[in-house]
Amino acid sequence: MPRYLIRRLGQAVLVVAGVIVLTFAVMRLVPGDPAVAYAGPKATAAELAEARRRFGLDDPLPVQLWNYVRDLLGGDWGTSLHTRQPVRDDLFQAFPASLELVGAALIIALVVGIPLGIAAARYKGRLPDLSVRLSSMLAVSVPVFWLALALQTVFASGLGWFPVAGEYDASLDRTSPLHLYTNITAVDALITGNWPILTSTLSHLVLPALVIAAYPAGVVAQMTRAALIEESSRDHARLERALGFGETAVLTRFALRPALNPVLSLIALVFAYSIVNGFLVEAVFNWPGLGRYAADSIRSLDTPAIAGVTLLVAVLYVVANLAVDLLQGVVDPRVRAR
Amino acid sequence: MTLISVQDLVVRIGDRVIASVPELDVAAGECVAIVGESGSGKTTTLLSMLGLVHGADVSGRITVGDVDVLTASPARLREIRGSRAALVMQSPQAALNPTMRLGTLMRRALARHGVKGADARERAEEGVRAVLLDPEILRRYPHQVSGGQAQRFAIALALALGAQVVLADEPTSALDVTVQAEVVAVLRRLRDERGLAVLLVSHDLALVSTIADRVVVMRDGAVVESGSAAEVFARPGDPYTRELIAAVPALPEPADFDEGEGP
Amino acid sequence: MTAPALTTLRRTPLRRLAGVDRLAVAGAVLLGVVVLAALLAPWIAPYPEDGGSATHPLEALLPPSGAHWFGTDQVGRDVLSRVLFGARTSLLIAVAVLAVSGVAGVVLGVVAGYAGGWARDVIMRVTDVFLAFPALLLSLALAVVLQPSVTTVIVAIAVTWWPWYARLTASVAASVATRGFVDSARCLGVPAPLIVLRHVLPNSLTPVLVQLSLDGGGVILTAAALSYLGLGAHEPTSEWGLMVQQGQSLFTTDWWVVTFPGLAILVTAFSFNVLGEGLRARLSR
Repeated sequence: MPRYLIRRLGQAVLVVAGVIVLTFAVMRLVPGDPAVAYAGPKATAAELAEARRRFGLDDPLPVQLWNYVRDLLGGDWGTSLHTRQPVRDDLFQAFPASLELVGAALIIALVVGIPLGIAAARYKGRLPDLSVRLSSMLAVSVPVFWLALALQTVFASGLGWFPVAGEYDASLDRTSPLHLYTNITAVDALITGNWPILTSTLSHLVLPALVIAAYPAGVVAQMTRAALIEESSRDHARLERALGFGETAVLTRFALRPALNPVLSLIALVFAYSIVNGFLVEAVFNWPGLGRYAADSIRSLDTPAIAGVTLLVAVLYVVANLAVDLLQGVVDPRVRAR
Repeated sequence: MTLISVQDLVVRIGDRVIASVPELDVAAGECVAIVGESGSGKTTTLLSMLGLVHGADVSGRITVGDVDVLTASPARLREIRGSRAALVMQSPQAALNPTMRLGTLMRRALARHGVKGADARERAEEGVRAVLLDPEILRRYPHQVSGGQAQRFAIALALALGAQVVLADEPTSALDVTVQAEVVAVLRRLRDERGLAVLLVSHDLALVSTIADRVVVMRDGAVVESGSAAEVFARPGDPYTRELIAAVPALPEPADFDEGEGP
Repeated sequence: MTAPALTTLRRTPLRRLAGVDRLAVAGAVLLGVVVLAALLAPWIAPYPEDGGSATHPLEALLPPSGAHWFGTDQVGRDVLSRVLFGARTSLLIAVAVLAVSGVAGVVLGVVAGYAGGWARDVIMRVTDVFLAFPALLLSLALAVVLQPSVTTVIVAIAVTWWPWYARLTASVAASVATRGFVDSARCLGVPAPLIVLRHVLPNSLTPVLVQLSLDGGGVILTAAALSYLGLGAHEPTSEWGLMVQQGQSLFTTDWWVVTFPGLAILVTAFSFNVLGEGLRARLSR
């Protein structure tokens, strides 16, 4: 296990290094002058020269890369052009809200996707199976920004069942102020027993979380179904049947656990994908997370901010993958033994 | 006492006959072997005893104890699976769920058949000891036990559930020769001491000759010869049986195998 | 082991074949309709000039009617016509991205899988890095620094998409390269490029083609998202994502402006996914 762990860690570090180089390359090696972006389109020649000097754009590229890496490791992720704040602070502020939203979405996706996958596997080739397969294909095919607009229009603006936008009712900050521990509003409200903010946050969460959950729910349902069918055709399933267990018991009490392994390994992928889908959804629901920050940065062509978001999400993805690999040891004793 | 009785069993997929067995009885304390090459219909015949053949038409009459397998309700079928007749499969580790300790599987199987608590623990340990395994094995995962241990555990499952018949599908073909002997010895001892009935499917005549009381030879889904083991091996009536016997380098004497050692 | 014993819980081959084919056929038919709409847009669109920059201020935001089945947009253009022309943009992007990234990925993958050694290591580590970015993320970053256009969308998506095919091809090529007939060809002195062309490539192609059709939906969605964010197609091009963006503030009052382009994205991505699923299920049998 330790050797396996060290090898995985080494791989992850290598990938993160590559991610930094690639992000740098995308931001610096493109046509157009980054100095123009920093100094603004109406800058004078002197202002441009000043910007070049300040950001080290006259240095050779390897030196620039070295400086970039050094700054990153030193905690300097650059300054956002649209908030005029250090990018790192912006990200730090926005991330908990994204985690809250994507976390809620993934919970919905697992709670909906796994039972649907089980039902499809149980009735393979029959109507429940076909409807689960088709609806999960629909779920992964729906454009999230459009679904966000549609749900917002129908259930918030139209029917008024849910709030239109925001993370919670801002007037509650006066009547029942929230103490921050984790910076994740729902969690903090829960542990401090702040019910008004908790209920307000949950009702604000429903629509955006549902929109983001569509893709992972579809993927999880499909994967659960496939893995269960595979698992229930193995030898051990035949033995379980020969011990007197019915199909439903074989699927849920025996096949499900080994089948969850491939489903779990998908979660990291799906988590990162959902964060990025959040870019399209948070702006619609004005959710104060990375997505809204990214969308604002894109609108103002804020390169340092976009580089920061890109880097953060890619690194998160690498870390999530690592975590899932380790978690698999918990679910599957064979991995642990490796 | 007859534990399994088969009459006019025919298994078809479409127009093709996969297995056809006019008559087959297995009594307590008896080992009957179905012999033939792969594709001869022997595994299908074995699985039909538990009503576990899917995607095929099964006709005739199969009785396990007092239960008519082909007409029994699915719930009744699930009741007798494991508790009357239990399966031992070919590939020892693949037959066990990789994410489950052996003891968990044992406990769930016992609970499925209504045995719980201290009673279940006792039956589990008793079953495991009867196949010469240390009860400690119940705490292990399938990848932590050897092939021979896994097969003996499968037999222990049958014993703990109170099965009177073991349906063994090539139980030793995935094992080393010495380990094969262990498993065979366990089966033989249980047959002799407890009157366990064994319905064995195998292509390995050397193995069959060491344990079987009676032999059924199958080819292309049909029974070509049957009779007492001694008779069939000494005076094979069918040319196909003679071929099978000729293909075995040297049939060892039944006395060649000793009781296997403990774990 | 005998056949019926192994098919426990699976359906009989005949029914499975029929079931799988139905799915692939349904996907192909649906996709065919979209392709036809794209190809015939200039002839079947009720107001072909509305696919471009024409404006009819007096007919702005008319609800769906006999004259305008999908209504009209904020400058009076026929939404149906723009949706039909939008199919051209989306399919063009999808075909271009899949072709570029497919060819690049297959070439690199064959090299990695067949040559092995350091070439394989370098290519695989580079794909690792690219795959560390969720697809839309790197496309987004690239599209931000490039000028917004349809070409930008194609480039930005293709750059992030090729590693999947490189990976897939490399693994197939590696397993093909160790097979007997490739060895014997090598011993007979057949030059490496010829072996790759004759043996490795054809064997790698089927899984890649299935993957391409599965990915078509993803490309359509990513392209629409980029245009929705204002990083892709721009006026007067008919593009579904762009149409949604332009109409989003009107959703509550004039639902048709946003609903139909969104449905078009959904249907097209869905048809790719259904086709790909059907093909995959058939392949994996």
